[in-house]
Amino acid sequence: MHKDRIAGIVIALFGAVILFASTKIPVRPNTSDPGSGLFPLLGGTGMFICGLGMIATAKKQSGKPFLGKEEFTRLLKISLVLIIYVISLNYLGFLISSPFMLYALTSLMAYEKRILFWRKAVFAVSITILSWLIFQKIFTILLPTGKLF
Amino acid sequence: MGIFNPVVTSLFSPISMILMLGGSIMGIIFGALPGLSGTIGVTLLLPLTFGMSPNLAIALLISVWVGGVSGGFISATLLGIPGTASSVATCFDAFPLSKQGKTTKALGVGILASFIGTFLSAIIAMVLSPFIAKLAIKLGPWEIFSLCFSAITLIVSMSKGNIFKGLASASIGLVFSSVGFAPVDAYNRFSFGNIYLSGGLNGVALMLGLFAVYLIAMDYSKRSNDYVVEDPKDKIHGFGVTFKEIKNNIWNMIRSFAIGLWIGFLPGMGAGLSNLLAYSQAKNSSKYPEKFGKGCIDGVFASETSNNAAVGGAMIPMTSLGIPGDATTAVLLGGLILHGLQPGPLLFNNNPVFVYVMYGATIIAAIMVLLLQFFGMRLLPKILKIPYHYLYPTILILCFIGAFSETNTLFNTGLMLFFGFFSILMGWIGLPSTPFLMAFILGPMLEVNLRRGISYSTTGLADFITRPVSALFLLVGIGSIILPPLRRIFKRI
Repeated sequence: MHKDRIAGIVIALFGAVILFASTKIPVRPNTSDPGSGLFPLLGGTGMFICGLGMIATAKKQSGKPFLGKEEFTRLLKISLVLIIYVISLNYLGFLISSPFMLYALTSLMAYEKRILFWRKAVFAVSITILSWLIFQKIFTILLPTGKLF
Repeated sequence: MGIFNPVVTSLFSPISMILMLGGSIMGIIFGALPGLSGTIGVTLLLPLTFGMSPNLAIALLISVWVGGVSGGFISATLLGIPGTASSVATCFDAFPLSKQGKTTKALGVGILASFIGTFLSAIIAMVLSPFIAKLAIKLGPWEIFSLCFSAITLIVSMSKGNIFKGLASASIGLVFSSVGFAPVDAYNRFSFGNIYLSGGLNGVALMLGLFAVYLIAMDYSKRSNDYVVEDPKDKIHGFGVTFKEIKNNIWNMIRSFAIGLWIGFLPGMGAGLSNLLAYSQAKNSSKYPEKFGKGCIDGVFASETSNNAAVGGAMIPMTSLGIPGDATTAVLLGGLILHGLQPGPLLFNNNPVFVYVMYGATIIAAIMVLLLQFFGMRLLPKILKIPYHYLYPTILILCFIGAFSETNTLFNTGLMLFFGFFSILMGWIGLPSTPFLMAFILGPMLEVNLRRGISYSTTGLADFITRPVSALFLLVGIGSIILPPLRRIFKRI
């Protein structure tokens, strides 16, 4: 099926769900306030109508795809690194997780270019320590310490 | 003449000048770092000012604010990541200019427009504050709702291609903004029992995800780190902007300035809205709208003049009514109270020296920021010479810190990633992200004024169309959506 049509169906469906959920939000009695359900109801209605509009006006698109196979693989790689980083921040904290994340991203973003191990390691450790010193010590912004510590 | 001497003595004392210089530098750094902003800078410095006199404290805090608003355009120009919400529209044209190797020119336009915006708005605020404040009282929730509505639809009308996609994007933004405790009755919506969601989705996490995570992930995936670094032989004089370019943008700057001043002056709004609205107006009224988004300096002039004009605009209700125009003025108001001052109409009568020190500090800070950025302008493009395998991971670390520091929860960093992936999904479907962002930012304001408007009225929704200013804004909003397709249909006939 056409991409715009699929997107339209998904948006219209989500819109319908929000619309339905908004009608369940209670309105305070004896007040002229329309209640907390009105606003999401408007948003849900907008999504529903626009989803239908997208289905109706869907045109076949030609040209380059949004992401090729190789590009999609790279997107998956960087996504994985970032997700693992957020999880490890929670358990290991900023000072331990960040050098690994920086090292992994530097390796990925260099593509075929070979960068010496020690250069990447020095970069990763120094950026981590520098940002920790600037934010934690100078700006007194607390950084995550990790549940395990 | 009675207050002139104490104001000048306060402002030009060596300690005051040193503090303002330090504040301006700190503000520029905070504004330029993704996720941090002048507001965070002012909040962090506030406790340090308790030992100072109110005049010194306000001079320091104002210079951080002015530097923060102005500095936001630096990362928007160099990296395509807005330092603050006030620089979102700056990215649209300053970043493409940077990619074409015209970084210094883009920075020059930004610096000049920022200065004009702050400097003139501070003077207008100083002169007209007591008179303009009387106007603000006459604006009700109906007018503010209609203004927010028209701001969203104007942005939707800018999206290319299918109008339904623009409207769908805005609708999704409205739905996302309604997560958490509702205004008025604090009903907990769509939080699924999660305490982090109860407070609502964080705007900084959304912005960093939408711009920084999206940009870095897509640039890496598509291998499109194709910057053209400026040729050092191409000497740039002054701000790198010709007199003709400034002359061609005079009307654009006046209009953007008026939008910025007006939006800044309206309580609760600010530079985050004004830059997008001024940009859309500049594009819609341009002779060459097709050039916008591809490196057109008119867009940079519009965005930077308007967001900085909001500084002076926000000071008007703050000093004359005691109402914050934006988040930073809310923190500043808190600071005034902590220093034993009572913001509001009586401030002019009880502490006139303090009020004029505040305006004077804004003007001096604007000049300091101008000089600091002018001399730093030629050094900043060197950032682009840093290899991308070092630059992008460093930016991501800053984004993670920025998202975390906003709420001190890791949930916010996860949220930033979620919005990064969400914006990639939106890009795949072809949904424009700006209407989504605009609707998300304005959602709470739109809702609270819609509900107040209905509650205060005896005629239900009728007041929204019977009040002339409100009706005018609604007409502009609806017209911006309906007119472009109608024009196309009539052209075909």
